[in-house]
Amino acid sequence: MSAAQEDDKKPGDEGEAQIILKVKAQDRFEASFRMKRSAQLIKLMNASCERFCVDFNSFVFFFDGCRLLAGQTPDDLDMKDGDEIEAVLNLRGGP
Amino acid sequence: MTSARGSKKKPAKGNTAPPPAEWERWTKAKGKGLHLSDTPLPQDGSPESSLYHFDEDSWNRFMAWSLNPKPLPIGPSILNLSVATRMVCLGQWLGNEEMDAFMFIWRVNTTLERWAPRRVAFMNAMFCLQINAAYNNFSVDRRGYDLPDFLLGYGRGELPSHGRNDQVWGVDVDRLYFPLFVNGNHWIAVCINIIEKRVQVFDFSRGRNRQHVEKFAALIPRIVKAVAPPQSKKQLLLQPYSIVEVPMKARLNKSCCDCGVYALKHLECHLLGLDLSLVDDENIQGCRQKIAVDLWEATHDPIYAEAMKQYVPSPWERSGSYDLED
Repeated sequence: MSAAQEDDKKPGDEGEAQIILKVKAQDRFEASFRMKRSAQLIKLMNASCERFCVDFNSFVFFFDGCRLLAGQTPDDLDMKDGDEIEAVLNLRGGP
Repeated sequence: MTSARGSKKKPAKGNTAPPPAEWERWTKAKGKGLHLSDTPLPQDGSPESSLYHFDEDSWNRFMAWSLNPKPLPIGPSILNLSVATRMVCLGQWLGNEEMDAFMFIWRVNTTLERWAPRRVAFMNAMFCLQINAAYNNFSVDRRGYDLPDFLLGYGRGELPSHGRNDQVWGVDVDRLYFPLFVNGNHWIAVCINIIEKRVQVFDFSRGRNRQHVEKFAALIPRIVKAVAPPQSKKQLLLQPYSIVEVPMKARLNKSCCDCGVYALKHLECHLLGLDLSLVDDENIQGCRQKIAVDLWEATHDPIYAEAMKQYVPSPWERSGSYDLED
């Protein structure tokens, strides 16, 4: 993941539509990511884990109450700029 | 804020939990089999009674809520029917939401001196995952390793942010407490004594999870040193803390579902100076219900409501925007 600040960066250098999505995690850790609308969300999932300094697969990601799948894209889910994704820890222990 | 969801990664026995209308208050007499003692359940406010005794009024109020369970925020978590079911029902596995809620409650109790423990701090599930990831980097290059800034945020008491008190490890805090999730399905309890340079592990798996605790034993001394005042930095060593397995009764958790309850209660015993043997399979269901009632009561306690109102996000939790196309 590139950690460069990109507030002043213009989207769509290649002409492909982009989207900014916000990821909120446990204890209000949060970050925003710009990505292509046609890119797979696994990219965002990996970047979120890296940004929140946890191993990949630590979170389960939800959008509008539905679990995100790695191969889905923002276009698939009709996401809009500024939409929020919830990164949830799902630790369950018993034995 | 994390919301609990009904889905489970590894359900214990499918979705077999009874609905709230079928929940019954545990009493010692309902335990199965012969009892080794015929002493009544302590209800006198004695320390051991605090582990599993709650009065009938509290249970009735909790039950009234459970029949119409409006989600209730408590620190970083939300008490809803899923969380309540996990805590109350036999065979259900505890999750990070309830663990983190209790760490929040205990953090506030300590800051406001609502209970006896002093100079203690409580970590959450996120901290444990972040230490785990940090250790992976550390183990690649131990000499050249630099602690990430956010770990110093924990060391300065800025994280976890819910109930934060800005107390510095090794200066204002002598011991760290937290439940630790290991192997994808098991909770153990950990107490790190900064003064004695010792990590105490409460785990009936008896040493099988030592490798998970070693990460904390290696990194905590580095955080303590990094956040120490300049005059005491030189005296602090980076040597890993020693790991001590706390002895406990054999053959606990026969249900294979109660490790989370044991982890919370073992932490509570250690904090309050109680014998760990007070918690066993005979009263673990009472402990479950006590945890649920305590959590529900905390959601109605103005002290915790005030602590939540005064929540100040830590700068470590907010970050800018990142471009994934670069």
